[in-house]
Amino acid sequence: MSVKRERALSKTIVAVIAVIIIVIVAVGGYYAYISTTHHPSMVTSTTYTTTSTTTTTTSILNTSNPQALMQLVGLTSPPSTNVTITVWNSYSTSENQAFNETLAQFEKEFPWIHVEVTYGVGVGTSQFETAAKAGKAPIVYRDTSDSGGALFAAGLVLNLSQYLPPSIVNLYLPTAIQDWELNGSLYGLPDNINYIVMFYNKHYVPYPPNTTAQLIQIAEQVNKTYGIWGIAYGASDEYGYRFAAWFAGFGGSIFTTTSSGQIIPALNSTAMAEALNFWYNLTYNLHINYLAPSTGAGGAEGQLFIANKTAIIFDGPWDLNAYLQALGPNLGAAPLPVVSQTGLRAAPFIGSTGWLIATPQASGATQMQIKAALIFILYVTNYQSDLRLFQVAHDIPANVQAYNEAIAELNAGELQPSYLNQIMEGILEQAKYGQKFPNIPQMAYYWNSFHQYASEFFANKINATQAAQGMEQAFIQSLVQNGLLSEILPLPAMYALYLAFILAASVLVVSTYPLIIKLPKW
Amino acid sequence: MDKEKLYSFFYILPIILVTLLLFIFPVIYSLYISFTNMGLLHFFHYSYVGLRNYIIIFKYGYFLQLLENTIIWTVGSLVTMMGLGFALALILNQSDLKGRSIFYAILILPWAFPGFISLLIWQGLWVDPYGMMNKLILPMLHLPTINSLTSTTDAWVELILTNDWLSFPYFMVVFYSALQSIPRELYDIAELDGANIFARFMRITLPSLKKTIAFVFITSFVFTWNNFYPIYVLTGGGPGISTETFIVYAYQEAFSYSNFSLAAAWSVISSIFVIVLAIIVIKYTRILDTYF
Repeated sequence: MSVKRERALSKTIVAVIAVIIIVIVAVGGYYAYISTTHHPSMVTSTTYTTTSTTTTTTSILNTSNPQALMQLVGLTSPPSTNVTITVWNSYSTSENQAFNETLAQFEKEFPWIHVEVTYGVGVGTSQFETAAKAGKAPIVYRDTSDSGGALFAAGLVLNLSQYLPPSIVNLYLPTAIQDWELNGSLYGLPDNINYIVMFYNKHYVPYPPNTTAQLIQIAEQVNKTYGIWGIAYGASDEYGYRFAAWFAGFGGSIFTTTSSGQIIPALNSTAMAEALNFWYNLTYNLHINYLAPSTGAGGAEGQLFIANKTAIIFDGPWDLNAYLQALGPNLGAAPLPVVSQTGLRAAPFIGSTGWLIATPQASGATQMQIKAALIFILYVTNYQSDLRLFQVAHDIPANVQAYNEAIAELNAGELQPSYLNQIMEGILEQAKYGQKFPNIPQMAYYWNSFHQYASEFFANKINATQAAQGMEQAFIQSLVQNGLLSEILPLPAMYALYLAFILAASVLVVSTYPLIIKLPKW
Repeated sequence: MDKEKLYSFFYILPIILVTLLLFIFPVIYSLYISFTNMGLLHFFHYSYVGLRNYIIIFKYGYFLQLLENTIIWTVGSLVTMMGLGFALALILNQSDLKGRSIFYAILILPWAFPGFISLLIWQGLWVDPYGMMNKLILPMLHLPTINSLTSTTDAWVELILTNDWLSFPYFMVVFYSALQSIPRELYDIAELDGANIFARFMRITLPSLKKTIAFVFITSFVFTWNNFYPIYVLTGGGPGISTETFIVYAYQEAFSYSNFSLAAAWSVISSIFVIVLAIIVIKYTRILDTYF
């Protein structure tokens, strides 16, 4: 009886598999034509610029005045009923101190807007996308400019250019606001600019190295004298955010534009191979760089730096407080050095974090909630709010007035403790040598492509040239797979693959079925 | 269908609904979106693209590499986990073992900790040269240190050893329970007949545990094949994609690249493998004889 039932069950399961495969084949065949005619092309372009730490732009809008803010979004008086907006906040602990003060002030000045904040949301698109798919995205969201660009390209965040006057961009540093523009549309308002700098321990490092030759010399000296790591840089662990600085220093750029105006990856270059080999040499041959398995103040790199076990790391101002507390006056900050082989300075991405508003389709927001959200993001990026972020958490302001005030405080040596002035000078100086953080949707496919082949290179599986070729190939494939680059697959080849798939599926079913029926008892 | 049969059908309606909602619907939905272009650029408005995602997988998708990785991960973990669990269960089953309860309690401790937290701790333990494994344990045993960033073999060793630690208590408990159910008299009679320890093991213990081993193997095979967290937390699939399995890759396609349709296609392919292999094992071991 049981054998019969089991046989029936096996038949049923085999039938289920067969049905699945037949469905795949049938539906696939039916729509094969659609797939062959579906050739999306590139959607946008980008440019690279360097940035300056000084600006004289004058703002013409007053986003600190509640009445002016309401007028800006087309309201003459508060609505008769209160409005609730949901906010996902990605600030760190110290940034939240400043944000909470700003929020209290906001709710005082706009008693008709109730703000529901979710703290500690990670930057990146995935959580937001999941919520948006269900139509439950937060109305207001804080993310990085590159992630925001991907969300904007996906139609998940509002085009602010349709809601705010063009002069709104004058409120922010050009470097910062340009990170939030795609195809001439503004999709977010920045509250800071960010990039990596070189943090060093003055106890071990007599002067900040200005060239890579000096960097190596100092790191070797530190290694020899104190028996600690000269540098801790987890080149194999990262996804190319920090490595982009070195790639640029060796003369490379992530994208290039073809004669037809199409933007394509440009990772397969001598610059990439040389940059990879540079860090390989420091790690495996000179033994002065620790290939850390994790980054940031909480990762291995930061922990070694805090514990005085490495002299130099590359990290952003967002981790400044952790290093300040640990090293105090021994902490130094300076721009990344000039690459001695090329004479070019290592140029980190000058990115920005800021506020976006979800589309009504993603969040279900009403028009009044959108207006309230606009007021909110204008308020949290205004002069007072941004200056507060600088003073409490040392974020570099994106607001022009706040930035100028920060520079004035710095020049007057007013920052406390006093050694912070020198550190902030070093951090701000780095902004002169950065590169624009590409915010085109293609950028989303750079990270994993880089990571895959860089980590294989540092695991000695491939050489630098193969790594450069591999990451470019993977990058292109990802763009093709995601419809951001024209299909490379020729039509006959596609049908050949289609037939091969049908054949393989058939063989699978035919070969499995008798095996299942006729297998001997154990 | 008469009224009585219809009435009895009513009793199983809740489980049918739950199954439809939690199992059948996600499977069909995954299958459906695997034929679309649902992704970042086609988020709300997506369309059918036929077999495009499947073709991409076979043309660009590192299919063979991922299949090899998934097999290494599943078989490597299963064999060692089951072996360790079985060996410990045999030790615990010794009648003259003193302090059995204490050993038992200690050995099931890894099971008591939340898996994700354990993995984060193991991540720290494996850091070379600062983690305890590389600083203390391995040198003490005169074994080479392990660095998953610089060697694929090391990455696999790290993953499988950690997974063994996380999972052996389950196998130990199941095998120990099964061993306890074997009548002691069988061993006494065999001993009287002059059977040595090896013969007793091969003729009594192993045949008695056949169904248990088969059941544990099938369920654990499917679980390990789809086990995501150890790889994601410890190596992230690296170096490169050297330790990336179908399920980790599908996750990254979905949540790193926002390519949901391609991720669904990877999941469908992974599921077909699991179903076929499970059927073969079920048929070969006749495990269902016990339950039908």
